[in-house]
Amino acid sequence: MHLWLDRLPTDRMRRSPDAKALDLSGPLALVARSGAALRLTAVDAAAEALGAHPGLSLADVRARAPDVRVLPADPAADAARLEALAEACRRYSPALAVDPPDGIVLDMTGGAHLFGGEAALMADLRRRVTGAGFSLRIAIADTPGLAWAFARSSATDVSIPVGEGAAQLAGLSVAALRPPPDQVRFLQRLGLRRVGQIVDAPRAALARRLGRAFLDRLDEALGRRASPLALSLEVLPHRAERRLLEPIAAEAFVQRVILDLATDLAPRLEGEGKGARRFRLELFRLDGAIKRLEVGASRPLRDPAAVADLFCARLDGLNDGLEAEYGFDLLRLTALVLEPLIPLTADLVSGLSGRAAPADAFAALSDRLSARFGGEAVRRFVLRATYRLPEEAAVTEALVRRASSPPAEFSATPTQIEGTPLRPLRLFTPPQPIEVLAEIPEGPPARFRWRRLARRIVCAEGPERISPEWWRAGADEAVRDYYRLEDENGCRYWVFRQGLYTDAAPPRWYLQGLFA
Amino acid sequence: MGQDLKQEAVEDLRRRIARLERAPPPPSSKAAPERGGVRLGHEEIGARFEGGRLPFGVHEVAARSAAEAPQAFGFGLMLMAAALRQDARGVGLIIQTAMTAGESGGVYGPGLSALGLEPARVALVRVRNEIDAFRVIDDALRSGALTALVAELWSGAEIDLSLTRRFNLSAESHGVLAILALREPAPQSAVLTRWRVGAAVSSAEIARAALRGRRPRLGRPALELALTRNRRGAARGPRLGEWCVEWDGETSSFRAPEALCASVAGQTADRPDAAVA
Repeated sequence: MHLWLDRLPTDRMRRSPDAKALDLSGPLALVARSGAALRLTAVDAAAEALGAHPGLSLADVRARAPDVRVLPADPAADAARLEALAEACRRYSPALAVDPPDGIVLDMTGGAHLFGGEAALMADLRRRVTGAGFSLRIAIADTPGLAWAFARSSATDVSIPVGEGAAQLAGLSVAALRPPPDQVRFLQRLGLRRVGQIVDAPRAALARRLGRAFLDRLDEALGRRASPLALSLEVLPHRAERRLLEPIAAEAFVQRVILDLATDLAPRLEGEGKGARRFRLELFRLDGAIKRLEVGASRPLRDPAAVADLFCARLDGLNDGLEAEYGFDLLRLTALVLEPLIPLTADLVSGLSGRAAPADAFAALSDRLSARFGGEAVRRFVLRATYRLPEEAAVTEALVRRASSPPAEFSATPTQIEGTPLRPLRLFTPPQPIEVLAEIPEGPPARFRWRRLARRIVCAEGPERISPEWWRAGADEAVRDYYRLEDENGCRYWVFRQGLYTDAAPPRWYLQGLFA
Repeated sequence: MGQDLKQEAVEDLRRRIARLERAPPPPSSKAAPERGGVRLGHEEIGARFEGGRLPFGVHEVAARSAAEAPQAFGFGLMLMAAALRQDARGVGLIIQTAMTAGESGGVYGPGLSALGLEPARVALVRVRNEIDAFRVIDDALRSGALTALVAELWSGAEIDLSLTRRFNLSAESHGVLAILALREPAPQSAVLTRWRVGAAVSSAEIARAALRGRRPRLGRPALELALTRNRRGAARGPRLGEWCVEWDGETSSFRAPEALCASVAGQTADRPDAAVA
C-alpha cells in the first residue's frame, strides 16, 4: 500500500504553529533557491488552479498569479513531518518505510482484513490523515512499485486486485515507473507514452538506451524482481511499567515500585550490554495528572539498587513533595541515554563483596547529589583550550553531563613562579568596579576603595597584560592590565585596568579576584 | 567444674555476639599507616596533635574578621591539598553556598592548582543555603568516597552539637578531613579543632626585595593561625598556639616564614655593606 501525500509541504505549512499569524487561507506556494533563480517547489490546489506549478520561477508566479502567497520551503521540516505521519501509520502495519520526499509505503500483506477489508482500511486511513489536515492518495497493489504508480497516477484511491496490476499498469504513462525526467521526455519523443508500449519492447535495446535501472524499475513493478523496502522498524523504548490495582500515595511504596521497575529493566539493558545515563520516571495520578521526574548519572547505570537510590534522592529534593493526592495507579520507568556498559572484573569482585571501588563511590555520590540538588549543582573545573579572558579560560561545568560527550580535561598549567600564585583562588564574574584613589599613570594603584573600604597597597606585582583573541570584535578595547596587590593587612587582590591612558575616557579599574 | 563450663559458654556466646554486632570495616582503599591524620609539614603545629598529624574528623576554620573570609577558606583548601597529597587516589569536595560565592567570588580552577590542588581531583557543589550544605556534607561523609571536604558557610548559627557529632562519627570512620570554613565561629559544636585565620603581611619578602634593590614581590600565601580549641591534643606539651605560616603549594606543606635577619645575613655575605644600608 502506498500513501502519496500530494500536497505535503503546503499542508504542513498550514498546520504549522505560526500559520495563524501568517494567515494562509489564500492560495499558497513554497519557493526555494535553485541555481540563480527562486523557483517554486510546491503549490497547493488553489494556487495550481491559478496557473502556478512547481518549477515555475518566482517572477513568473508574481506575473501570472499575483494572489498566490509565496513562502520559503523547508524540506527538513517536511521530512520530519513525513516521519511523524509514518509513525502514526504504525497502527496498520509494523512494516513500513518512508519514501521521501512525500510517500509512505506500508506492507499490508495479509493484514487488511484486520481493518475490515481493503476498502474499509483505505477509508479509515483517509479519514485519519485528512483529519490531520493532509491531502493524500492511496493505492493498494501487489508490489510497492505498482502501488507507487497507481497512487501517483489515479485521481482517486484505488485497490488493484491481485494479479491485475500488470494489465492495468500497461495503460499508465511511462512516468509511473519513476524514471528520471529526461528519460520521460526521451521516451515521449520516441512515441513511447504508455507502459504497455515498452513492456514487450526488446529489452536489450531499451537497456542500451535507458540504462539498466529503468528496466529494473519495470521488473520491480511487475514483480519479476524483488524490491526490498528500507523498512523503518519500530525502536522499542527501554521501558518498564507497573499498573497497580490499588493506587499508592506513600513515598515508601513509590520507592518500592521504582526498585521493582528498575529490576524489570535491568535484564534487558544487560542483554544489550548497555547502561543508561538518564532515567525518566512517569507517575500517572488517578485524576489524570502525570508527574515526570528525571535523574542523570555521571556513568551508565543499570544496577536496580543504584537507579532506585537516585530516584530516592530526587524524591527527597522535591520542593512540594510527591503531590500524590489521589495516589498513582501507573508508574513507568524509561531509560533514556544509553551507553555501553561492560562489567569489569573489579565490578564482579566488588559485587560479591558488597563494596564499591572508591571511584565508583564518588560517582555514586555525585549522581546522588545531582539528583537531589539539580544537575547543575555538582560541578567540575575545566580549562578551555583557548587563550581568553580569565573568566572564560577556566570555568566549571556540570559533572553529570546531559549529552554524551567526552569530558574536557583540566590540564595543569604552570601557575606558580617563585612562590606567588599567578591566578587567584576566587574569581568574581563579572569583575567588580573599584575606585582607585591614588593612581600612578601606567602603574599599579596605591590606594583603592572596594565595598566602601579604602585599602592601602604596600606591595604590587605586574602588570600582566591579558587581551582577548585579537580576531574577536572589540578585542582592542578589552585589553586588560592585571596587577597582584597586597594591602597593609596582608589581604591580596587581583585587579585590572581596562583601557589606555591615551584614550579619551580614563581607564577603568576592576577587582577580579582574591588570593588566599 | 560445671560452673566453669557454663561461664566459658557464656563468654563464648558473648564473644560471638560482639563479633556479629561489630560494624563491618568501612570501605576504604587507603593504606593503614595513613589512617591517623594529615601531615601538615609544620613541626611546631604537628607537635600539638597526637602522632604529629591533624586527625581525620570535622574541623572548624573561622575568619578573624569578615574581610579575611577568603583566607579562612584558603586555609581549608590548603588542608585539603595536604590530605590529597597523602592519598594519591583521593577525591576532594568543595561546597559553597550561594551567599559566600556571591560575596567573595566563586572558586577558580587555576587558583586551586596554584595552591597545589589538582582541579581534576576536586569537585564543586553549589547549594542555596546552609541547610542544603549540611545535607551535602552528611551525604558526602557517609558515602566514604572522599578524602577531604571543605564547606564554606555564611554563618555557623545553624551548627549544633548533634550535627557536628554526627559529621564527626562518619568522617572519623571513613578517614575524611572535613573543614567547615566560617565567617564567624559557631556558638556550639563538637568539632575536633577550632582555628582562627587571618591574613599575614608578607613583610619579610618585601623587606628582602628592598634590600636587594629590586621591586617588591608578593611572597607565598601567608596566614596568621590561632588554634583555639583542640580535642585531640598531644599527651604532653601545649595543645593550643598561634603561628604565622607560609603555604608551599609545591610540597603541599606549611612552613614558618623565613626570618628576616637570617636572610639579611645570607645576603650580606657576598655583597658590599652599602647594599644593606
